[in-house]
Amino acid sequence: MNMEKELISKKELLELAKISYGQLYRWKRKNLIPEDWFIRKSTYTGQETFFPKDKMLDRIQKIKNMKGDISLDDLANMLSPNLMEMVMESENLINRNIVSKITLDFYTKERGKYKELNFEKILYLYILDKLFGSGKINFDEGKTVLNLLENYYPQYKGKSCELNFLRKLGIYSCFLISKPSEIHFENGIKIVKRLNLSDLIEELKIKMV
Amino acid sequence: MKNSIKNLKIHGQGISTGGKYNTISIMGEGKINGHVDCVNLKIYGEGEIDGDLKATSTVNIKGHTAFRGNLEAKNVKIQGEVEVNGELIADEAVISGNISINGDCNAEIFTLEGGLTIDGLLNADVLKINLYWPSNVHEIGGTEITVKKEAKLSFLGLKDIIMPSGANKKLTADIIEGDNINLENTQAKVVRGNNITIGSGCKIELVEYKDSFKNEEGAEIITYRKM
Repeated sequence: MNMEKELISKKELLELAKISYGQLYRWKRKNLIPEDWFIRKSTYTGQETFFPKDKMLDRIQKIKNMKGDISLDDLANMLSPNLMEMVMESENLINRNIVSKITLDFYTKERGKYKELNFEKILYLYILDKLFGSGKINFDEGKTVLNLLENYYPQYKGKSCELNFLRKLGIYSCFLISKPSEIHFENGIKIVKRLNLSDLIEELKIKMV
Repeated sequence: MKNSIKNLKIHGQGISTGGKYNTISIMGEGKINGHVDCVNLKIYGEGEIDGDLKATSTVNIKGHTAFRGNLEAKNVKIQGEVEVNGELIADEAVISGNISINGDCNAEIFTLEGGLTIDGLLNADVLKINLYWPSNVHEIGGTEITVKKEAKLSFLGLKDIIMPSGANKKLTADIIEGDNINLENTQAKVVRGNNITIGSGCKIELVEYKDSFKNEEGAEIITYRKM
């Protein structure tokens, strides 16, 4: 798996995305662009800043698209990996196609019935829904994932992290790891699913608003 | 219960602990241990905040104050000298005097008459600096960046007697990037932007501009090119 991402220099980025220094710095001030995307490297002209190209272009597109509708501060809130303080009725989750009924039923069976769910719980449901939807993970395995998330995800509060689900010879396991980091496994291990939770939180926030 | 949030007053000399306050005023000499959340902070004299300070409205300082953590407020007004060990975050910061910041400085509007030392990035939408003392910033970024030598009417008429002929009134920076940049008495490795004017007393190693570039008399530029 190639974890190396293509980098783009600040100058090229401004040119390509048609934004100005002023805009870029304003977005940085408003935390619309995560600090760890600013990668400093020494070049012959001294230090220059580089960005992960695809992520950055995608983010700029999002900011440009949403800018008209909501304030920069709200936008920053939506794009940050922090959890929102928001509750939603479980029926609404299904009506608005955020979580499938099967996943919600699974959750109800495991954890009892909730009329309203907070953002954290909705996030776990959303993750499970993605896993079940991929067809690669069954309910039994979903229980393990749910336990992992409930026990350990709160420790990552506000930091980027990734959920990995792997299999070897029919045995499965899963873990959370903070990003950015690099992991390598022996060839017998198959990574069945790898989910960037910050991306999911972002998606989910956009769906819920 | 709104009444449960109290004001804190230190008149004379005193030490208090952090926490939530409405208005904090220190006249004389005061120290607060720990993180502070307040609406307004006013220090006339000497202050020390041993933690992060967050003010939802205004921080007003006349005298000398040291913030051992971050300083975050809507409006920051400083007359005198301030040290910030963490970051400074404000909508608007107006400073006459001297400020030194160990981290980054983020403000929509940043106006300074005096001197500054910032180890991180000075990031402001509108940035106006009038130099009275030697200043150092690692990196500057923003929309409108203006650096001038001291104005004709210096706020301390006496200053020239104390520090004769301001030969060292220079701003030194590694990188300056912005949409419209107007510099005097600045020494920088790289200046990048759309419209750039380099004035007297500047020494710039590399200028990269997009729309316009003006090289005024008394400026020394080693290389420049259009992006």
